[in-house]
Amino acid sequence: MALLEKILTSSERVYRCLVKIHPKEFRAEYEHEMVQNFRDLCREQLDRAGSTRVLGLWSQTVLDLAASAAIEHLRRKKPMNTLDQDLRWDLRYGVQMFCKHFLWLLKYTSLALIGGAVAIILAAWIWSGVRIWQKEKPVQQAWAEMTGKTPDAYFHAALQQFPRSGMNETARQLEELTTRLGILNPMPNRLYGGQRKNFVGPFDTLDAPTYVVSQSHKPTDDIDEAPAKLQDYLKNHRADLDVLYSLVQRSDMPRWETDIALLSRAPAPALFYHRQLQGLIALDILEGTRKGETAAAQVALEASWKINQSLRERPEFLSQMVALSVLDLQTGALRKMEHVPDIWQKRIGLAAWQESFWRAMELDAMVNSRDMTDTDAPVRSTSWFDLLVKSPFGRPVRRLVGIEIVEASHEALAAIRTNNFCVLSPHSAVEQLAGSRSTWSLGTQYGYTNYLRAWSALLEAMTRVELTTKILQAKEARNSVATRDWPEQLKEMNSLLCPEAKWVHEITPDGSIKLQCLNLPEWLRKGFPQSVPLTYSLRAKS
Amino acid sequence: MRQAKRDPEELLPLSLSVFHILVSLADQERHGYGIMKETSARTDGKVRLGPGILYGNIKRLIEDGLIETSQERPDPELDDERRRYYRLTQFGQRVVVAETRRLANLIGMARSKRLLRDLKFAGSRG
Repeated sequence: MALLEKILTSSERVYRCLVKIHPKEFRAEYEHEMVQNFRDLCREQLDRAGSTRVLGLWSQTVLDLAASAAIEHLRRKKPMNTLDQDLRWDLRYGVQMFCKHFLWLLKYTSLALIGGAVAIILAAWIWSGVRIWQKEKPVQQAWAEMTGKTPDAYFHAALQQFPRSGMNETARQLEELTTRLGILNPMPNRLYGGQRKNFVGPFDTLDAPTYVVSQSHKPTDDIDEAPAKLQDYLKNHRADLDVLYSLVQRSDMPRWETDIALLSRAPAPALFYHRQLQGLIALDILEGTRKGETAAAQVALEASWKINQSLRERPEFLSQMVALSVLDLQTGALRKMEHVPDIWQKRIGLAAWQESFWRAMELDAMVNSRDMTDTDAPVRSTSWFDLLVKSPFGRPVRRLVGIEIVEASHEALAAIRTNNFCVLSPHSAVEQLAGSRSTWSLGTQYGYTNYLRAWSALLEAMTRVELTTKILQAKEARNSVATRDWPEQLKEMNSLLCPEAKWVHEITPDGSIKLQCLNLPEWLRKGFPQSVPLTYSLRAKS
Repeated sequence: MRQAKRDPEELLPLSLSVFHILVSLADQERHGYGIMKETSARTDGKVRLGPGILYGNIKRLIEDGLIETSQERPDPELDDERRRYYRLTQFGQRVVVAETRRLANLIGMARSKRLLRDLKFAGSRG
């Protein structure tokens, strides 16, 4: 309704301006009634069919005004003696006059258009200036209260913490090896000894991640035999894979290019590359586990962890999302493994992931804001306003948008901190936040809701991590006793996600152990039928 | 009375817009928006008078004594008191009757030449 009222008010305002093209005497007599009639017509169209019908009304109105203004002006210049002559001044005659006096109209129309453009630019400057004056200090203050630094100071600190760096030798050698495996990193300036950067390697058609994900969805330790083409691939590339694991194990962590000063144009990890590479390693882990080659599977798991850790240590939000995607592959394989070292329960812990996600989202807000203020990056706004904002005249508007991005991001991050997602789903929080934002705030278009959605994905992934931890604990307890039966008592494990949620276990009559999570919030439970089950059964050892 | 002495035939034919305004006021007083709505409803939306053309014509019809503003208001409590109501003068009534007769004569002539029947027949085939 607010939008319709705005359309009505704006239309009336424009009409009131256009009526001014009639002679003064005519306006003195009829201007008020004409505006009132137009408002009534406009309201009727909006009530009946919404904003689209108003466009049709405007096309008729412009013709009506042009014709009547031409008639009234010409009539003033050339008085008619008889009513017969007067009554010929109808719409058709008006159109004829319009054609006759086209140049005159063209001149004044051009002047009106130029004047209108100047007025719009001035209005945008004034509007932006006022909004910047109103918002800049409170927004900076709110950001400083949350992070301890003003937005500028925050970004400069991030620049110092993550200075520009190139790829290291491990990453370079790793890319050479993955090229031999048919997996290419499509980052800019990668030539791979003359191969095209968009080259699709043979591994792409095998799609190991799909097989790995299908196995991780099973609520038991069972592992299906991998498709023959995947087994052939592992057999043919055994030597390359072993060299890859050895390289990662004995070298520094692979590090790829980082340059956050480039803002939205900064190099970022390629999801497809990492997902394929990690999918291949997870396939190798599953195959090793299925064949009872535990030591080999653990070597592969260590390599997978080290490569993914290099993404987690990067500052970009995108890196965290890619790393989270890989974590799902890793935990899917981990659940099936035997004799996993204790350290893995700490490595996949919730707190560290939440912390790195949080910092990445804060920096992402700064990058988006500065990208708008400091560069000529494309503007995602609508229609003619877009043209203005992209033009050199749009600098004040861009500055305002930059401030509003920080404002909206701060609200989203504060919502993540203050909302209890055990009660309220992140999706509902997004709706609440969107409802509270002004439609005039351009910052709302810059993906601040992504933070809440990413947090939702993180919490879902962490639930799967907790399941994995519980499985690892159960296996550890069983392996420590001589009977090799599942122990009746396991270390109690409350969920870190929600105070009420709790992981419980039950020994079934056939000697299996059944693990499940109770009292998880509804929105988290709903997400699981399509993904990892919250109930997991482990058979007794024969 | 100046209007009483004038011959309505002098003003014929009326333009389409003027004719519809006069017809709209034939049965009751109306304000400008009422004239627009009534004309649109009566012609199934085929004739739409915009505010510009409407008030241009109203101005000239008042100057020529075919219509006049009315001091009476149908229901002041339910209406915007700033709206002006218009009504036909006696001369205006004579003019619109004369125009209607003229149009009826034209229809009669068309009928005598069997144009309407032929048109109807052509339409039914088509």
